[in-house]
Amino acid sequence: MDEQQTEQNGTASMMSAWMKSVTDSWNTMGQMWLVASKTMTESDTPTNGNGSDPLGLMGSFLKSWSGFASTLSAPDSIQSGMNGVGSNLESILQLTQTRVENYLDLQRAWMEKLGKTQDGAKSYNMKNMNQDFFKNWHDLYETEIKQYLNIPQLGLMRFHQERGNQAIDKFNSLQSVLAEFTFLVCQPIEKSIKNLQDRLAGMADEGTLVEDTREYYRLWIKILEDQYMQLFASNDYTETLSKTLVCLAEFTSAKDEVLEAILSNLPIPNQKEMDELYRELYLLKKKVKKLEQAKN
Amino acid sequence: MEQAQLSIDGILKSMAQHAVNAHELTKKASDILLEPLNTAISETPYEIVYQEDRVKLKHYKPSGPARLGKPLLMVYALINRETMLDLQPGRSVVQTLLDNGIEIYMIDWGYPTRKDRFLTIDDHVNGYMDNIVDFILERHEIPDLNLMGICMGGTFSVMYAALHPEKVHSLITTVTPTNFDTKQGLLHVWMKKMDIDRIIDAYGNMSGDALNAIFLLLNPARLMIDKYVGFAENMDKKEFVENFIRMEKWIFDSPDVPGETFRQFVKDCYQKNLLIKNEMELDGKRVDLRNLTMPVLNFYGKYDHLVPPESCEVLTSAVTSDDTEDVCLETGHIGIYVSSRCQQKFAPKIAEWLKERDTNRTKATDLIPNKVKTTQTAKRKRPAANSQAAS
Repeated sequence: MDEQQTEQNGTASMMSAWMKSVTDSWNTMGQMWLVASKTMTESDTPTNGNGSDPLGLMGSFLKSWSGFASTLSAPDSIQSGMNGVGSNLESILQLTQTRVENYLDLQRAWMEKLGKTQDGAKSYNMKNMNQDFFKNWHDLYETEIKQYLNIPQLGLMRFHQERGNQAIDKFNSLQSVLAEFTFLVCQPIEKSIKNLQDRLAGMADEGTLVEDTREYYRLWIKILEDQYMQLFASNDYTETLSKTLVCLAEFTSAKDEVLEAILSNLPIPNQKEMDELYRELYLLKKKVKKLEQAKN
Repeated sequence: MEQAQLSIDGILKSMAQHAVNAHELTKKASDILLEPLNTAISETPYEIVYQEDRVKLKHYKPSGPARLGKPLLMVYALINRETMLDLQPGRSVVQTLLDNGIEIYMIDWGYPTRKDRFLTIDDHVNGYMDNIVDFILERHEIPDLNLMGICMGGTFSVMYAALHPEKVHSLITTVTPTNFDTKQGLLHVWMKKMDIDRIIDAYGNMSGDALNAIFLLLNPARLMIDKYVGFAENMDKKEFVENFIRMEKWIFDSPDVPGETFRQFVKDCYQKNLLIKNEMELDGKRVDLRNLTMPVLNFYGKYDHLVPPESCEVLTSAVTSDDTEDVCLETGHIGIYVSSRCQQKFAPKIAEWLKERDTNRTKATDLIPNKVKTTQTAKRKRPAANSQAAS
C-alpha cells in the first residue's frame, strides 16, 4: 500500500511538472502573439472601433487557454484525476464491452443475411442459367434488399428522399424483370439454332441436304416462328410480359414524381397540373354539350 | 437406296452465285433508293367537310353521279390510320367504291395528345360519331346512312348501330372483333392478364410506339427478320420498293390511343367480353346487339392472327336482323385491303351488296355547306325515319 501510494505520488508529480511546462510554453506563445498583434494593429489605418479584430480574438483565446492549462496542471487536479482512474475503469470496461457486443450483433445479422443469399446458390450458376435465375434474383431483391429502400426517412427532406428511394427501387425491379423478359424472348433463337443443327444432321444422315443455302434460311425461319408461337402462347411468357409492363409503368410513375418535384422549383406547370386542367376542360365540354342538347 | 451426294463444289458454286447476285442487286438497289420514289399514300382526292377537336371528316365524291341513295360512312380503328383504305392506285378500297358510284365519308381520328386522355368510348361513339352522322344526314337530307367499320372502328360501328339503329340503313363490319373470349389470337391471350389500369395511370394515353412494338412481337420471326430479308432480296425492283415503303409508312404511323378509351376497351371487351353478351355500357347506356335489325355484312380473314375468325363470326348470330351475311376471305388482317387477290372480292362485294339494298336517291343539289373548324354542333331535327330501315 505504501509502495502504491509512493508510486502514485511520483506519477502525479511527473504529470504536474509536465503540465506546468506545457502551460508555460502556451503562456510564452500567447504573450509573443499579443505583442505581434499590437505591433501590426498600430501600423494599420485606424478603424474607429467598427472593424473586426481577429488577431485580438486569437490573443484572448490563448490567454484563456493558458489559464485553463494552469488549472489543470495544479497538483490537486492531477491527484484527483489519478484517484478517479481506478473507479472509472469499470465504467470504461462496461462501455467498451457494450460497444463490442453491439458490433458483434450487427455482424451476426449481416452474416445471416449473407447466408440467405447463398441459399440456392446452384440456381445462380451461369452455366445452367434459366428463367429461375432471374426469378430468384428478383425474389432476393424483393425480400432482402428492397427493405432498405423502404426505411422511413427523417427530416425536412424526407419526402424527397423517399421519392428518390422509390424511384431507385422501381428501377431495380424493372431491371430484373426486363432481364428476365429479354432472356425469355431470346430463348427461341437459341433453340431454333439448335433445332436447325439437329435437323441438318438428320438430313445429312438421310442424304437430303440441298445446295441452295436459302433453303436452310427458310427452314430456320420456320423453326424460329414455331418456337416463338409456342413461347407466346405459354403462361410463363404472358405473366412475364404483364410483369414487365407493370414494372415499367411503376418505374415511369416513380421517375415522373421525382422529376415533378424538381420541376416544381421552375416557373412552369408540370404534367399533373396539366392533366388536372385537361380533365376540367373535358368535363366542362361534356357539360356544355349536354346543355346544348337539352336546349335543342 | 443410295444416298444422294451433296457436293461441296455445288454448295460453293451456289454461294458464289448468290454473292454475284447480291452484288448486282445491291448496285441496282442503291440506284433505286437514291432516285425519287413514289411512296405517297392516300392520293385519292378528298375534302375535309367537318371537324370537331382533332377529328376530321373526309368526303370522297365519285367521278360520275352517285349511284346510291345513301352515302357510306367509313369508320377506321383508333389504332393505325385510315390511309390503309387508300394505300395506292390499284390497291385502294376507296377508289374501287368510288368507281362503283358510292359516295364516301371517312372519319380521320387524328393524332390524340395528352389532352385527349380522358376521352372514353362513349365520347367517340355517342360524341364524335353521332355528331358526324347527324351532319351527313342533314347534309343529304336523309334519315339514315350506310355505315362501315374496320377492326376497332367496326366495334365502334356495332356499338353505334345498336344505340342508334334508326340512323343506320345498313352495317358492314370488316375484321371486327366482337367476341373476345377466344384463345386463338395472341392479343386475346395477352390482354387477359394485362394490368391496364397501371399502364394507363402511368402513361395517360396508350402509346402508338408501344402498340407497334406489341404487334411486332406477335410474330418477330416474320415481321422483324423475314420481312426485311424479303426486302433485301427484292430491292432491285422499283415497284416492290415503292410498295414496301408505302406499307412501312402506314404500319409505323401509329397515333396514341386515348387512355380511357383503351382502358375500357381492354377491360370491358378483352377481359370481360361484355359486348357480345349485351352487357356493355357506354356512359350508362346499354349496348344491346339485338337492336341491330338492319342488314349486316361481316367480313373477316381466315388467317387473321390479330382478330381471328372466332372473334368475328359470332356477330351475325347475335343480331336480330334477318338479312346478314358472313364473308370469310383467305387472307390475313391487312391483306383483306391490300392483297391484289382480295381487291377483286372485297370492295366489289361491298358495292354490290349496298346496291341491292339501296333505297331513295340523294338530292345532290341541296347539300348544306361544310362544317369545318367548328367545335359546336347543333342537333338537327331529323325527318321521320324510313320505315324500311326501322324494321
